[in-house]
Amino acid sequence: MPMGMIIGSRIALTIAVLGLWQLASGRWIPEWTISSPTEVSVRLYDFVASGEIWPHLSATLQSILIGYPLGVVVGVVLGYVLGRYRVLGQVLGPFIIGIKGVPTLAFAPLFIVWFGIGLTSKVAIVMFTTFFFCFFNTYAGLRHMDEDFVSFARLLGAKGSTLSFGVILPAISPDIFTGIRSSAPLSVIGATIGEFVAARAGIGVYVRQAASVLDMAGTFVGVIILVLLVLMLDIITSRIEQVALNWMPKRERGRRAA
Amino acid sequence: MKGASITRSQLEEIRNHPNTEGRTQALAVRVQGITKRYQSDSGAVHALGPIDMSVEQGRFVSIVGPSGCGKSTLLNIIAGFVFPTDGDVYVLDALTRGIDTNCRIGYVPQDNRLFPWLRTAANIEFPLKAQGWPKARRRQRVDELLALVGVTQAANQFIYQLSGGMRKRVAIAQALSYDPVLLLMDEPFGSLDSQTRMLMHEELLRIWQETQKTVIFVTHDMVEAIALSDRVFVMSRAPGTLKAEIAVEMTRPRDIFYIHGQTGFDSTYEKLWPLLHDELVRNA
Repeated sequence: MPMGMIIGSRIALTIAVLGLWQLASGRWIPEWTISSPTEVSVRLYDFVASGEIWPHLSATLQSILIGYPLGVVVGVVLGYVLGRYRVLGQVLGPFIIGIKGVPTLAFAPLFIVWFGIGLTSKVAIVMFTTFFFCFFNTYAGLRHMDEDFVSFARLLGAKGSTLSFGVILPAISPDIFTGIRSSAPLSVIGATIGEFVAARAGIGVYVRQAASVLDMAGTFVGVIILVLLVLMLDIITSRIEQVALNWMPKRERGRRAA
Repeated sequence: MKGASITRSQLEEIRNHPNTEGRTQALAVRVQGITKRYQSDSGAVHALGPIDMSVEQGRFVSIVGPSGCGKSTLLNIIAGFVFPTDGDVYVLDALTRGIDTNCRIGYVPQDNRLFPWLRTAANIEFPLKAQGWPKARRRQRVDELLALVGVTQAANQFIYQLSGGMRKRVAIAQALSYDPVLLLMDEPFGSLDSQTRMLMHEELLRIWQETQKTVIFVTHDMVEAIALSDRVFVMSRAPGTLKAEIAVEMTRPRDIFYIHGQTGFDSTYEKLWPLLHDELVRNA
């Protein structure tokens, strides 16, 4: 389907959902439970126009923009080391899988006790949520990488950093980008969890406060902002991926973008 | 190193006398008592050998044999990609163990092993960069090679944008870039259509005449082996051993496109075919 039609369909779907919501609100479902698009729009406008949004948005953005790249780096580096040094991977594998299984929500209070209420603990939580996908994808990429690339590169005289940065990393870069892209939404989840547990500012704080007084319009405003954040991150990471993987045939790259 | 290189006149002499064996001169490769056994799910498998063979510098030799006889394995053992169970490989009279990282061996694989994330020129440049050549020399060498194999106009293309024939040319340029003593080719043209293949044969012979490399060429195609080589090694079916060594009775330069009509083709073919045929029949 051409891009124009895809975007058109997305807009049509959004309008349909909003229309249905507006129709249902107060008629079939009590308004205090689901609010309504018109009311949410008004609140969103007020939230932005009054400037109330900025401290919250900047707190959330800060923890994402610091924690997410750090999580990616730590995940890729650790995945690389454990993937290349098999023994380490075998020893540490079960621990990492085990920790991955624990919900972030259970770890969040620990981070807050260790790092205090504020940016540091939220950055730590975002790192924690984004780390795993980058780790596992890098690790898996190394596992199923064609070893022939490496032995052939060695015959061509490559060793040390040329082998790591010139051969192995590019060879598994599609897997690394899968990790980076699939952990982007998790960075927003991590930041929000941190703000739900304990924080002074952030979109998560705003949502929690609104929800606690059954202010559904306020809650939806927060949720919409979080959704927009996720989509923005997805667009950014996908653009970076398209440039970094420009050596792949267009069709293959296109499949990744969808 | 003793006898590491030979003069042009010696080389001419070798090429003009393809039948003379057992001459005293530096060997590009000597393979001694190579065998390969491995464990499979159904028990121990004797895949290869024992094999003894040697190739003088500047020669173009082929190894033919029925599929599964281990001819690619033999080549991979010489390159160091595969460890032999027994035996030794000497390159220029020096014992080698594992992958030869001294840049004495160029290898053109059966499949495409060019780096897809590098453009054509960067693929050819890769070994030079890895080996620490200065930038200006690298540039010059890459330009030379692009011209040598005729892919100058594709220098800035990624590998997926190249045709099968172009990829082979680039792979050959990459293998030749660092001027190795020995060029190992593992059924390099197997995947090409027959016209492209003949063009590549002609190109390969031209490049070989220009660069004076020692070439070991693995193929299952007898005509290809005869057309290109000075000598043809015939392998038995698995576990592969060297069954015979046939000198090709054709002079050079050869016309690849009329190879069947050339004096010496038929007589070589008649010597070679029964040997290979026996192995195929035994195999079936």
